[in-house]
Amino acid sequence: MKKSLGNFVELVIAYVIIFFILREWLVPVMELTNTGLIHLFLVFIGLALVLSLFAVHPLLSGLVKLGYITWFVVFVYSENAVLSGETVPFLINEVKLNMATILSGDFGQVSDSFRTVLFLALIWMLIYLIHHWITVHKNIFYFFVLTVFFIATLDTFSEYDGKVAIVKVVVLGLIMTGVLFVKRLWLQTGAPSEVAGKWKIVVPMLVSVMLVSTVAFFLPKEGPTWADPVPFIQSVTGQGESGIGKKSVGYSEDDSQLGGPFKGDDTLIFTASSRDRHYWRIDTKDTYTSKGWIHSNGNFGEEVYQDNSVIPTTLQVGSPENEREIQMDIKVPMPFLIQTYGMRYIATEEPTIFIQNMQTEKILTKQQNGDTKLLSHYTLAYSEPIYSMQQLRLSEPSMLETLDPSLDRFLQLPNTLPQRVRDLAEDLIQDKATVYEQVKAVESYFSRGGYSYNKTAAAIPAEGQDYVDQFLFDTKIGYCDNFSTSMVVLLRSVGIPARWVKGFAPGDLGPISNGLREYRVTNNNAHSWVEAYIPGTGWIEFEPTIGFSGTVNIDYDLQRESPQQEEVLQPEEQQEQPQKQKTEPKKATSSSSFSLNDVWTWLKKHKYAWLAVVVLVAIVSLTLFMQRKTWIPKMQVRAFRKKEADWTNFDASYQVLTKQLARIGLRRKDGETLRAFAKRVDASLETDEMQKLTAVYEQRIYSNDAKDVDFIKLKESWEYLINRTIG
Amino acid sequence: MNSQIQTVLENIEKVMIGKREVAELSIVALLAKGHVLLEDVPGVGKTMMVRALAKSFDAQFKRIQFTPDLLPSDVVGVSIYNPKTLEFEFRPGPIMGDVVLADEINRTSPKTQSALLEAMEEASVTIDGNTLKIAQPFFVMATQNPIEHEGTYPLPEAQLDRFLLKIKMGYPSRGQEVEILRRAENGKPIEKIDAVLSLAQLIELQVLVQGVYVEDSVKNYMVELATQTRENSYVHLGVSPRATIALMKASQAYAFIKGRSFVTPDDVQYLVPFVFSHRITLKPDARYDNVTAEEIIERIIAKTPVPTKRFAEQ
Repeated sequence: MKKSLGNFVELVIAYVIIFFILREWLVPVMELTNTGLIHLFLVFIGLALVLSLFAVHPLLSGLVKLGYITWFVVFVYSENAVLSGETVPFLINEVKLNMATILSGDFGQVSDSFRTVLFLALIWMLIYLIHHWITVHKNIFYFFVLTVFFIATLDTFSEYDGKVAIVKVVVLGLIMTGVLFVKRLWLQTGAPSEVAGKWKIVVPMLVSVMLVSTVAFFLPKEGPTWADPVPFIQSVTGQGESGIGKKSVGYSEDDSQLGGPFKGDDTLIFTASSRDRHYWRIDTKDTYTSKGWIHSNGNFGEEVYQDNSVIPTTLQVGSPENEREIQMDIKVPMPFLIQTYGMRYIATEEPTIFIQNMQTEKILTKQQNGDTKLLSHYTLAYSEPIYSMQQLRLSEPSMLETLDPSLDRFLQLPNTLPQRVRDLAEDLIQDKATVYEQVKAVESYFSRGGYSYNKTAAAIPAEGQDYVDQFLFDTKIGYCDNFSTSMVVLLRSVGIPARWVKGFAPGDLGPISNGLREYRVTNNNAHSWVEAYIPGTGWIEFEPTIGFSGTVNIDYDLQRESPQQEEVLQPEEQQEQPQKQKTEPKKATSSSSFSLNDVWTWLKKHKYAWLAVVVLVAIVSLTLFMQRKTWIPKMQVRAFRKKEADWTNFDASYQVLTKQLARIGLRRKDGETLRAFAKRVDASLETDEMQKLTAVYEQRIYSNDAKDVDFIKLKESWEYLINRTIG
Repeated sequence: MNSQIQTVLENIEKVMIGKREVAELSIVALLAKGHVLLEDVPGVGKTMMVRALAKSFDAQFKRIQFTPDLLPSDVVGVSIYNPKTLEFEFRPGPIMGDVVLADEINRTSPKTQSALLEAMEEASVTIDGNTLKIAQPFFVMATQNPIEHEGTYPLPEAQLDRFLLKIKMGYPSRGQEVEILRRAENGKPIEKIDAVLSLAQLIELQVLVQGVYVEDSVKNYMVELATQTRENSYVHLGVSPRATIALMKASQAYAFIKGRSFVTPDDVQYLVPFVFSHRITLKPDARYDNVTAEEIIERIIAKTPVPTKRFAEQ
């Protein structure tokens, strides 16, 4: 009785510790998902732990937990009081709704209540596992390590601050591991289990854990040895769209002083429902000051458009047949339009006037009376432009000399621009036959040249230092402004007109509905990129920033050079594949810029195919592995039939036989002689062939003269034995 | 099974019922030119065993009954003054036989014990400054009673090492004992058996045994077993290299008996308990934990890997 009470107390202590460790799991999850109600979840954990502590009958314990989950869902998600007449219909409705969603495969659309149920079920399972770990394995180390890993990961990759949590978890986990270790030790050695004896070990263990933790906590700690891995991972995996922009705020008007670290801001600016991925274009700038960007002087005029009327820009627009719509939902209203490439016109609910600045292509929204109008919702009609590769290849560098003078402002550079920037640009475009290839060479230079993406490590140019020069040659580290400005300056220095474009990157992916994907754009998505003028084609967007991929559609019409095929080339056909072509421009122009992104896209595209292949391979390998004691010997019998009957092959075949016997559970022990083993095998297989074979093999290895043996007979014995092991 | 040995064994079995293993082991010692320590209570047939063995080989059988007052000269012999010839004449002791039974060896004084053991090891005796060779074959079978310790002189380790094998006789089974009675009804069976091999043939066999091949991997195995006894935590003193040599010789003889020209690990495993168990001294811990030398050796055999390849291929 005393002993079982002691065990119970131990279990209680273990469960209390587990409760607090689990709490550390819940806190960040709640914090990051903006879910309140942590106390309700904690009650559930406590309930589950208590039920398993008292070893309540599984059926009863299951019922209690199910009851709590039901109550939880009704209490939180139903507007009616619990146990009112509405409860049952509410639950039935929820179940119906979510079953339908799941059956249709639309997992993103399950309701919050259902998610909660799943989460609670997960906790349920976790506690069952923990119970198993504690009572059976007496080892909680894996769980402990997982917890530390979980908190460290969240601390690194999310806003959750695990500074305190990690200390708590480590102390709790060490105590738990220690207590269970003592317990395990006790069971193994069968030492006396009186309580006093246990305390003699447990107390020093507790003291040392506390001592170590306290000392470790107060010791001075060195700063991180590794740089923050997040920007690096994002730039490698191409998820860098988030977290870009200006110092502390997303989109701003003033870019005259670029550089310096950047603080993230995840304020949602707008959401867009669209079939395609877009760069959200707002404004362009043409004058580089060696510190930043400003507008050039001069009067370029304005154009006024009504809603639903086509707004022309200097950019190409796809054919009207391929027109699509984007539903823009502006959360932080702004007095200007957020445009896309291929924009045709804007439809609004109330009449609106659009005033386009001809210098910057920024479009202000006004009321009829000229007052500023803040749109919160509009529909943007666009047709994605598709650039012909054939056309792009016609852009000979000589054509740059006869450009329209109106493009001169896109060639402006400050006089103070260091010569080495120009030299670098000359170097980059060397050997490139067309302007397009020259631009692509400059664009891809950044991913080859040892540059890295970092929001916080970007430098501010010193007095008299050029922003681009500093980035290109000294720091080589920065964010989109560094990359885009540098590319524009490099292009301009070799006479290619280029401008700096501001706006937002495509944004974070939201759910899909009706074939339209929701893009959520926050201040972190604020971005800058490049538009270059390709003679014969016009302005095209380019994306030099590492970790970002542009949305340009290039039609690789080069291979269709034979006249017959050119006739086949229909505009519709070209445009059926815009989605696929999206990620291809990089591949076509520079094989070295093969990125993870391409691989990812390819994998996604053939998702089911490779999934099926992987599953198939897994099943086949598993089957082969499970059946290995059947097919391996068959193969070997066949192999040995072909081989000559001599001593070497006899030795090999004997080894094969012992291995096969081991597979069916007849394994020779270390201290077992071959003869004793053979006897055992023969007894088990009801033959005497193994002893015959072994007698010969014994003579082979222990004697100094090998007698003549009948190999044919031995082979028969061997095959017989092998076949016995299969049968 | 070697046919000559087979006939000897069958001959012995005419007198000894159900003691084939003891007979076999005795022949192993005889062929390996070693001596045997038989340990058991009186009356289980120790003497009968030796006499039958001696008779089968047509060997001269001598018996020494050890008592506390036995003197070394009673064993090895003595020079006596002959008044007729006026000279000292050597009268050989009972040790000068082919097969000698040294009964209850632990009953005599260490002085006499050592005289016997020296004779066993050197196969010669020294009397009055003259060294006399004992004619081959020379086989001593000593017995001791492990139960009675009153008034005994236990053999020291160094002397136990001189015995190639230590064998226990054991009681016969119920059926065997009935058979023993049946045969004892009609006089003494030992009188009825004849020699099946000559002494010369025995010496020939001893030479043949030396030619039994021991592969290096098997030698290695023997050494490994010996090393294990030296490293065992229960063992105070492990076996000596002399024990390893004894193990090899015994294995050769056993393989020969089994009709093989080479030693296998099976031979070694079979013989290790008989060769090693009287040569290791246990720590007091072993007694507290109720572990015997035989059990320790059994554990060592179980965990020492058996060679399954030629030494060169390992």
